[in-house]
Amino acid sequence: MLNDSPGLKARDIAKSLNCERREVTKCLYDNLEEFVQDENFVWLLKKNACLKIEFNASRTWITQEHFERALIKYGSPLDNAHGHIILKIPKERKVLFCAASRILALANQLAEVKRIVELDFTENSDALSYLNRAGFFDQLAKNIKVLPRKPSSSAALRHKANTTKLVELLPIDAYSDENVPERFKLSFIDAFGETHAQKIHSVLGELIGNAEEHSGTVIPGFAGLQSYILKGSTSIVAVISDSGKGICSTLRPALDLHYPEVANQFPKTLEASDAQLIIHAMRKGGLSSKGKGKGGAGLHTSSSYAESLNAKISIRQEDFSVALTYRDNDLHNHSWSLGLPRLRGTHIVFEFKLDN
Amino acid sequence: MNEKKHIIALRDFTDGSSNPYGTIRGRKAHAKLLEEVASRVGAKTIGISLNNIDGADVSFLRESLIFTFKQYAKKISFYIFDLVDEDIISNLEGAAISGDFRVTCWIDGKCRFIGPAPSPTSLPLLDLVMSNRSVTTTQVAQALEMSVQNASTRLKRLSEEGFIARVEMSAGSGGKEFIYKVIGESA
Repeated sequence: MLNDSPGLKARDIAKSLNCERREVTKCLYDNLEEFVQDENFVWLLKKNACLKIEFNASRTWITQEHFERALIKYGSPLDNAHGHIILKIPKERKVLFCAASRILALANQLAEVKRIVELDFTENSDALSYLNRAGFFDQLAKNIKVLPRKPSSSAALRHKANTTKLVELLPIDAYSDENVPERFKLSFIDAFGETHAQKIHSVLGELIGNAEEHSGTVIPGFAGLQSYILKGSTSIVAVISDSGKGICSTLRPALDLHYPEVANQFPKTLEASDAQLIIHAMRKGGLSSKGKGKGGAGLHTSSSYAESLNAKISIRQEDFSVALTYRDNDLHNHSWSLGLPRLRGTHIVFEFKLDN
Repeated sequence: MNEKKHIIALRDFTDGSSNPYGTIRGRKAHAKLLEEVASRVGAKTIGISLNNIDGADVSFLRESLIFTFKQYAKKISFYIFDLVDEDIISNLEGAAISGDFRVTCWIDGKCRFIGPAPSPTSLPLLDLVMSNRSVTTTQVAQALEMSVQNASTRLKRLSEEGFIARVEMSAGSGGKEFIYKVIGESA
């Protein structure tokens, strides 16, 4: 009935079915994974209903924290049955790449499971134009609708984003002729000079290389580099995002075989063991899906460069994240958040202040 | 008899990039390097020049260079030179540790080992070889006041661990003796 006539009130359904309204109401509330009531108190099949997620922020920049808060508020759209998802960028806010990369990944993942997805920039044309300049829409699945309209991509701007305000987002493809870390390195040198360029290349090289080798996904990954100014200080944000298996899914099968002592230290049955395993891999290194002496340098190298740049690293996995903060050329603290709404893949943010 | 000097430029194996990166691209370079090394029939020592390499991450250096060196361990001694950037040297160090293999590098005219560290008891022997560039077992035994047999055992182990090269020479007495020497030379 709801499929043919979406938007009925419980009493109308009861009337049509010739039964008590309270029975209908109970049935609807007992099956909220299938049915949803909108703001006008009419009922819809979830697969025909629309969920709007707005990424609100109290300050100028929308960050990864705002993305996560919105997902916690609405639940992961990957886990509910809404057939139509609107991801809305509110007015007067700017989007940091750490949030943009997750919005992009979420949108692409939803499109892959055949949801109708719309990115709504109707109240924020500045954000749309800024993200277009970065190449954001080039990474978006073709069947995702952009409101008010998808900009026609500007290859010229994309290829030489902006020499004074670095902002570029590029696809990750192991078999492409384009060397993405090299491209970012040269853009960084154009904007800010040689200092730190080599380190950025190494970090991006390792993390992009890891995504190329391990993510194993049909949804293309992407990487970005962005500079922004906060309280008069220039910060650099690098993001590396893929929708693949995740770090622990890649590492865990090798632990029992090649690193039994590490497997014992981080048994999968313990609540935070996956988060702790990632922190261990970053700090100690040497863990490779192929075994001892065969790799396992990527995360550890990134951690070493984070030390020298006093950077912050966050790694978002399917349902948890870890964060490491470096200060005075050492790891200052580390933490993790468990039970996050589902987002497939690995989403890494590497951030540091340029004047450190 | 002077051995022919063999030099390979890594830049020739990076698809034209001066900033190669990653495991997959490293493996591609590794396959080409193996072919190149195989074509150098009779080579005992090969120098790898990093000229025109502006940057390279740990994974690329491990897959392309370290795993090539490992494959030819005990057959060919490799060394790396034309290293100018501290971050590349640091990444090379990471690559050697991650690949569990020792490599001789020539930096500013000085020999330096990267990769797993030598044992503390090996250091006096290594210092002696490095300062003389080339030594015999007898010279080491005399200089460090140890038996020839002990010096021979420890030098042989150092060569097996990849720190120094072991070359068989004709002794003045008409027999054979081994010379232990640093691998390669400065550019």
